[in-house]
This record gives sequence, C-alpha cells and structure tokens, in this order.
Amino acid sequence: MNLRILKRIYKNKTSLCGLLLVAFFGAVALFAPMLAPVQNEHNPYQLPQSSYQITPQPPSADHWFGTTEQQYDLYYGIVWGARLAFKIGITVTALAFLIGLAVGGIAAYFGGKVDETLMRLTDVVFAVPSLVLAMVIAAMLGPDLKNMMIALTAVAWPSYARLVRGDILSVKQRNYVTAARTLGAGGPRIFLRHIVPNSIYPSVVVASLDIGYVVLTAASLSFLGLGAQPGTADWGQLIAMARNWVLGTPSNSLAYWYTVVVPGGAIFLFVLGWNLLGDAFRDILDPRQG
Amino acid sequence: MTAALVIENLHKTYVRKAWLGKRVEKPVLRGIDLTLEEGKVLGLVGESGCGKSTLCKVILGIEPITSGTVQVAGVNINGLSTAKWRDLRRKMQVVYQDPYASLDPRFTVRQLVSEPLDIHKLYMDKSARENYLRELLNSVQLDVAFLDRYPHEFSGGQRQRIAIARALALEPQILIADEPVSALDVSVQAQILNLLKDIAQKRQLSMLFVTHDFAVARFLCDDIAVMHQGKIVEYAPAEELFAQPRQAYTQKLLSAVPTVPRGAL
Amino acid sequence: MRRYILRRLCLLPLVVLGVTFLLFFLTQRLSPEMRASLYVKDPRQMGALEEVIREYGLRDNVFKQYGRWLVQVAHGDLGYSPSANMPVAQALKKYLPATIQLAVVTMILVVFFGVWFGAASAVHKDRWQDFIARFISVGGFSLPIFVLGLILLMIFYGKLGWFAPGGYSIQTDIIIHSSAFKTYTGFLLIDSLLNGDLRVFCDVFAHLVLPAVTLCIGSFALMVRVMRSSMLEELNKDYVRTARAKGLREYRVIYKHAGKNAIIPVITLAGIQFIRLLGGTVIVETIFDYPGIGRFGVLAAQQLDIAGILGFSLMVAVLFVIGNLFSDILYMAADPRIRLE
Repeated sequence: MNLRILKRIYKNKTSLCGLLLVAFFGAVALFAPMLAPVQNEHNPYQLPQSSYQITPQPPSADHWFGTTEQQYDLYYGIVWGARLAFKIGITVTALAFLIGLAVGGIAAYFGGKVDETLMRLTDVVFAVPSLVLAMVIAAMLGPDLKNMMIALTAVAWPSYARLVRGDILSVKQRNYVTAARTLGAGGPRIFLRHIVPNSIYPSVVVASLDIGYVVLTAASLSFLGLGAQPGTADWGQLIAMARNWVLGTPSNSLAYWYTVVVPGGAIFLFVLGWNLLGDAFRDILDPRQG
Repeated sequence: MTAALVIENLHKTYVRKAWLGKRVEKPVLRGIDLTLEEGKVLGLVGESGCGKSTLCKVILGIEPITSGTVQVAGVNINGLSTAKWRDLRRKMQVVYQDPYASLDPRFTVRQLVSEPLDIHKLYMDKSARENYLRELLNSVQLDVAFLDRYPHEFSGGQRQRIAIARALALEPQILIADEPVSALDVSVQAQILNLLKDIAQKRQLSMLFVTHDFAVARFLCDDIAVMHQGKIVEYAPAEELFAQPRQAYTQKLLSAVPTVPRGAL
Repeated sequence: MRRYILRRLCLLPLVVLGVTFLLFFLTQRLSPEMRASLYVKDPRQMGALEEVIREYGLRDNVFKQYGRWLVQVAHGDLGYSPSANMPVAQALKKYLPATIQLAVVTMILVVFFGVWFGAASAVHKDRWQDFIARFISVGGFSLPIFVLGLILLMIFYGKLGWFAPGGYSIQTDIIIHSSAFKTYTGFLLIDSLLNGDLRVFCDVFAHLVLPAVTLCIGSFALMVRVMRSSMLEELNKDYVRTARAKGLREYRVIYKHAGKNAIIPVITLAGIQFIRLLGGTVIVETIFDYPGIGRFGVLAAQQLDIAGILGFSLMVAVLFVIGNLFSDILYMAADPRIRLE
C-alpha cells in the first residue's frame, strides 16, 4: 500500500519535486547544528548578531545570505528557521489532530446531544477566518512562540474534529461493523478495533499535509508581530524585520532585496513542497481513481 | 421436535421525526408469524423491499422490536440484557449478503476468524487456537495458507467462505443466511450453496435462508415462506409449494421465474 | 432547503455569541486596568481607571461582565479604542467601506483573470499557456501574501514610484475632508464619481491596485485551477462533440457552449472566496498601510486594545457567518443536486 503510493509519487514529476523539496528542508532542519553551529547554547533559535549596526549588509563571505536589520545573520536564520518551521508545523498539527480526534470521536461515538453541542462548538471557531482568530488569541495570550502555537492549535482542531467525525459516522454504517456486533462484540471493542483504525488513516494523511499551511499561518502571525519575537530564527519574523527596508536607498531602490527574497524564498519553497505533495496524495486518495 | 426460532405477530415500524414534531411512520413488518424447526432449512422468499432484511435485523437484535415476540432457542430477545445477548450470539450466527462489505478490510483472515473466539474467550491456548482455525478453514474448503492474507486479496466466493468460517467459529445451532449468494457470480453461487447445504447437514444446523430466488430456495430448503409487503403470505414444505402454490402472489412470483430444466443446478 | 436556511439563521446569533464569549473569556487573563478601556467613552477618562473598574465591576465573575458588555453592545456602544483614538463603533463605520471596496475590486480581478487564464489553460492543454497557468495555480497557493506584497511594493513603489501605499494621497485627503465634497455612501470610489471628481477617483483607484493584486493571489490560483478542470470536463462532453460535428466554428464551440457551463462552479466559488478574503485583508492592509478594518484589527491586536479587538472580531464574525450562509444558498441554487443537511 505505502510502496504503491511512493511509486506513484515517484512517477509524477511535480509530486516528485514536492517530495524532494520537503526532504531537502527536512535534511536542513535535521543537520542544522552542523550547517550553522549554535552560537547561543541556551537558545539555539536565537540569531547571532555580529554588531549592532542597523543597516542590513549584502551577502558576503562571512554572511552567505547577507544580514538583515541589526546584523542578524540570514543564513543562520534560514537554517534554524527550517528546524523551527518543522517544530511548529509538527507540534501544532499533531496537537490539533489529537484534540480533533478526541472531540470528533466523542461526538460520533455518543451522537445525539453530545454530538450537537460539540459540533456547535466547532461552528464557533469556524465563524471567524482562522488567521484573524489566531491573531486575536495570540494577542490576548501575549506574543511569543509558545502562545502562537497555542493559538494555531486552537484554530486548527475543529476541522480535524469534523473530518474524523464524518469518517467515523461513515465507517459506522459499514456492514463489517454490524457484523462485529452480531459476533457479540461490545461498543468499545467495535469502536477501537474496527471504527477507529478504518476511519483515522485517511485523516492522518490529510492532517500531515497541512504542515505547510500551518507554517504559512505561523509566519503570517510572526510577520504581524504576534508570534516569534525579534531576533528569533523564524522566517516570518525575518521578513517582518525586512519591512523597513523594502524601499532601499535613494540611489538604489532595490539595495536590500535580499532581506525580503531570502526568507520569502525559503517560506515559498517550503510551502510549495508540501502543496505539491498534498496534491499528489489527494489524487491518490481520491476513490474515483483505482 | 422443538423450534429453533419462533416469531409471533411481529411488527416493526420505522418512525422518522419530521420538522415540528410531526411523526412519519413506515410499517415494514406487519404481523409476522414464522417458525424455524430445529435442524431444518427454512427459505424466506420475497421481492426486494418486502422486509426480508429488516426481519433478519430484528432477529439479530440490530433493530429493536416494535411489537410481538421473537424467541431464539427458547429465549425471548425483547429487552434482553447485553450479557444475555452475548450468550445468545454463540447459538445464532449470520452470513451477510455482501462479502466485500462484511469483512473488515484491515483484518487478516486469521484475525477475522479469531475475532468471535476472542470475544467469547474460546480456544485461548495458542496451539489449540491454531488447530481450530485450520479445522475451520478446512471445513469451508479454504487453504490454510490463506490465514495471513487480507480480504482484498480474495475473490467474492472465497470471501464468502471466510465469512462462513467466521460464522461457524462459535459452533452455532442457528445460522441466518441473508442472501448469501446474491452478490456472487452465478458460477460461484452453486459452490457456496453446496457448501452451505453440506455444512447444514453435517452440523445439523437450523438455518433461515433469505433469498429472492426461487430456484436457489428450492435447491436448499426444506420449508419455504413467501413474504410480501411485510407479511408471510404462504408457508409450506418446499415440494408442496412448488407443486401447488396456493396463493395468487406465489403463483405470480413462480411464473416470473425463468424455467430451469431439472438437473441443471 | 428552507428548513436548512431557517436553522442556520437561528444558529447565527448563537455562533456570534459563542465567538465573542470565547474572546471575552480570554480577556479575563488581562488586568482590570487593561480591560477598563472597554467601558471608557472619552480619552479623558483614561486617567481615572480605578473609578471605571469600580463602576463597571470589572472584578466580578466573567458571566456578569459579559452580560453587561452585551447590553452595552445592544445599545451600539462598543467602547473606546485607544489604538484608533476614537470609539470602536465609529472606527468600524469609518474603516469598513474601504475594506469592502478593496475586496470587491480584488474579486473582480480574481474572476476576470481567473476565468481567462483557466479557460486558456484548458483550451491549450499541455502547451505553454497551460504550463504558465498551472505554474501560477500551484505557486499562488504557496507564495505568502506578505512576501508578494513586499516584493510588489519594492518594485512598483520603490523602484518605479508608481503606486504609493496608504488609502489616498494628501491632496485627496484635503479634498474629501473639505465641505464641498459630499459623502453619500462612504465608498470613496462611488462618492468621488457622484461628486464628479475624477482626480479623486483615479487617486483612490491607484492606491487600490497593489493591495488588490496582492490580495487576489491565493483566490486567483484557486480560480484558475477550478476553471481549468471545469472547462476540461465540459470540453470532453458529448454536446461539445455534437456542436463540433455540426460544423460550428471552434471559438463558438468553446466560448458559447463549453464556457457557459464551465463557469457555473467558478461563480459559486467566487461567492465563497469573497468572504475568505477577509482573512487576507489583515495582512495586505498592514503592508500597504491601507485604512481598512483589517489594519484596524491588527493595530488593536498589537497594542492589546481590547475594545478594538472585541469590536473587530464581532464585526468579522457577523460578516463571515452571513457571508457563508449566502454562499451556501448560492451554491445550492446553482447546483440543484446539492442538498445541505
């Protein structure tokens, strides 16, 4: 089954590109300590600062990608930013999925009033665009990395709850569930051994492909100053620092292009990789195809 | 001779609550009286939509009874506790229509056939379990090498054999067969019917065999009940019914059956 | 269908209450001094917060406080926003038209170019037009709004000096605040035309171009993709083959026959996307310093201006829920096969 999926991804050029991009960033994240040696032992995500001069400096032998406002090294920021992106993406998706699984599972298992109440709760979260809600929650909790992840989790779980609930309800209707009942299996056994394994597998795949989207939203929050704080190796935060420099100098209006293009390119390629991979998976999971 | 299954004046009505509390009632079973004698095969024949499947569901306890009584092996199933139902499951098992849907796709054959044994804590010793599984697979003429394969690797007929093996695992006295061959290719149907006939004879099973096909019923059944719009319209020994159908509805159904020359089955 | 709409209408206030309560509950983490701004009506009161706290019982339990807040909102009083330096209700009234104006212009861009690119991509399948359209539809999803916005700002304002950020220029500011300029609708594009002032119209429009182009990218990508697949599906149907066999000219076959049917899903999608733009305006308005409610919301969030945050969220929730309901209805009306339960 899994081998078949890999084979199909390998066959399609665009999805192979996606796989390679994600694998590349995965490797960068994994080997970050080797690619960019840690400067601050207590917090490796703290960007090293070579001086306190304000103006960004273009790429050079010392700083491959140049430096941004206040001499934060962009290369270090990109490398450790990849690690942070995976950390944020995986943590938020996993937490949100677990909450969604619990809520969706409870709603589908008990049905009736419990189901109705929990689904209205998800309606509440869906009533505001997720970026706006995450922004407001992050602001109330106070802007830092941990609170940003809490805010992202808070807006992400309802879609998984609905997904899991829908899948469970459709699996509940299948004959093999009735068959298990006529064998004498009790409610919990049917739920845990037949319904859950058959319903969560597609949801897990869908959820994991949301990592790109989560990272994009996280970067947006950091960009608005409601996520990672200045000096953190976070891509959105690096771009936020570039905002003051987009107009360049009077003689060269594109003088500071690297402050936008370098971190912007990193986010773009990262999200692109996940999206390409996601498209491939959606095609493969589409029941209309064999 | 005692009865394996006694159904008296059974009614089943589905109620749907419409908007503003209006109740929409749809009677499906309207006063069924039926008896399955021990060791006999009773055919339940009727067109699709006549309530055959609902009757099976009620007998199996999947749908609650609206009124009337159903006795399985002398036990009234109305309002039976979960624990009592579990005991009753060992006496009554079922083979479903669609072997593609009734087997959990994530279970191997071993897990599928073991499941009833796990639930009822039978053959918990490892080697005894293994021997028993082999014996079961042999009894439905499946190769024991198939034990660790998944359902999607099998053909429809083979899957139905797996489903039969699972149903037999608890050594039931009563088997409900809900259109067990209608989802299968015609060429495979005969094999499964032969298998069911053998098993019923060897194990002295009482079997309720639901079908829409008179030819199939004639091959397998001792008695036949004809069902129409939630009622039993005719009940007679098989040979008698085919020789001399008494009700107009039965005659109509029989005349619609394409004539199969004797011995073709 | 009527039942579904009625049910949704009944749930609407419940959902909005839920959102505001959730956020109100979160504000309880903050000190009473910070929360006092909700009840301040005048900047001069800011000095005497302890009085406000006592007067409004800001140390009471959350339900009591929420109840009082609701009563206040029912009277049209949303508190005073320090970040916008005016009452929240007034700020929303002032900023909302600009955002709606931006969203409408964006949507026109999205639908026009999305249909064009999508149709061209389908008609010229696997040729260069198709590759460009497909590249945009994949890339547009992955390019963050704030990266695109900054790059466009760098090129079109920094390098070329064409489109300045902000909502309008200083000269326009003077004109629209003069007594000669009458405000009819609050939408500057419409009001300038009604006043017969084309200079203001052009100026306002020029300030809309970059935000609108930036904002449209995500929806545009989706639109191209949907139009392409919808058009491909139609082109493969029998009636198109029949039309060709009849000897109709190719462009008539494509645009009169296939195009007409292919555009249905696009129109319904546009309804949904219009509402989704609300999220994106938050970032776009911040980058281009565009005076809409998105920027108002971000400033309020950054400065922890609770009255502003709650008012902004309430506004967005109401718009979003009503908009979603409308697009669902539109969706059902367009495709009778869809049944929502």
